[in-house]
Amino acid sequence: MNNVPLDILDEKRRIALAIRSAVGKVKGVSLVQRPMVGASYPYNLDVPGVWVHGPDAKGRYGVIVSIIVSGMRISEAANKLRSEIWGELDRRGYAGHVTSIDIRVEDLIMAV
Amino acid sequence: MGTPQEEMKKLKSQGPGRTMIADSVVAKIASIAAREVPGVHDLGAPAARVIGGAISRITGAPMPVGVNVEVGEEEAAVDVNLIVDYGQAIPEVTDRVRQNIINQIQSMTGLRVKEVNIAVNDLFFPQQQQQQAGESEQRAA
Repeated sequence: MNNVPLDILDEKRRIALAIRSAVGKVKGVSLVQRPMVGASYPYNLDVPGVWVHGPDAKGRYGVIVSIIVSGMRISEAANKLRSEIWGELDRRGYAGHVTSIDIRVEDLIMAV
Repeated sequence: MGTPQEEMKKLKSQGPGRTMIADSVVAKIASIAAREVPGVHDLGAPAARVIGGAISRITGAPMPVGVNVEVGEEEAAVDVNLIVDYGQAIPEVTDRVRQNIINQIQSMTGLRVKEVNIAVNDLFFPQQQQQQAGESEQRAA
């Protein structure tokens, strides 16, 4: 069995940090911070709510982002967030290292 | 602005990746949409409300009581249990609840609502509440 090279862990961390930065730019969206009871929850050590998995045979990663949406439509929020994440990854030079960004809406905060 | 389905298609063509919406999110929308309709006193059977409240306190995660949902990638199905105010026309109330749930879920999530099944579990009598309030005041005094 091969050891996991440190640069993979570092690359995952950098991708996760880029995603956290992108999430911070979208108003009404935040990352899930609390663990769910009874669920095996995808957490990055540095960025809760972001799970960078992989790499695959071509050295690319998949990403799952768990978010809470407040005060806006879910489709609109996910739309904006995905664009922002791809933009941020592109700016930091990681877009080619990521195959997909899955967005998981875990909660909704509504003003009633 | 297109229909929710068109927007969902557009969303999916934004870049590689899927959008998944948790059951609890759709249940929350359905719960609020049902409560918005005049004539709906509350959701869930009395026993379910007690159990649901206890579970929410233990887990810390607010789970809407009286609503069950099944969410797929593009569709959702909703089951709702209602307590209706006495004197209201139940078929009219349930029709309005069904329509409001469909509208809200479709506009907020882009999911197509396949079915909304409604069960009216109880009727609420305002006199009953006044009587209970009176009894609890007597006990406290």
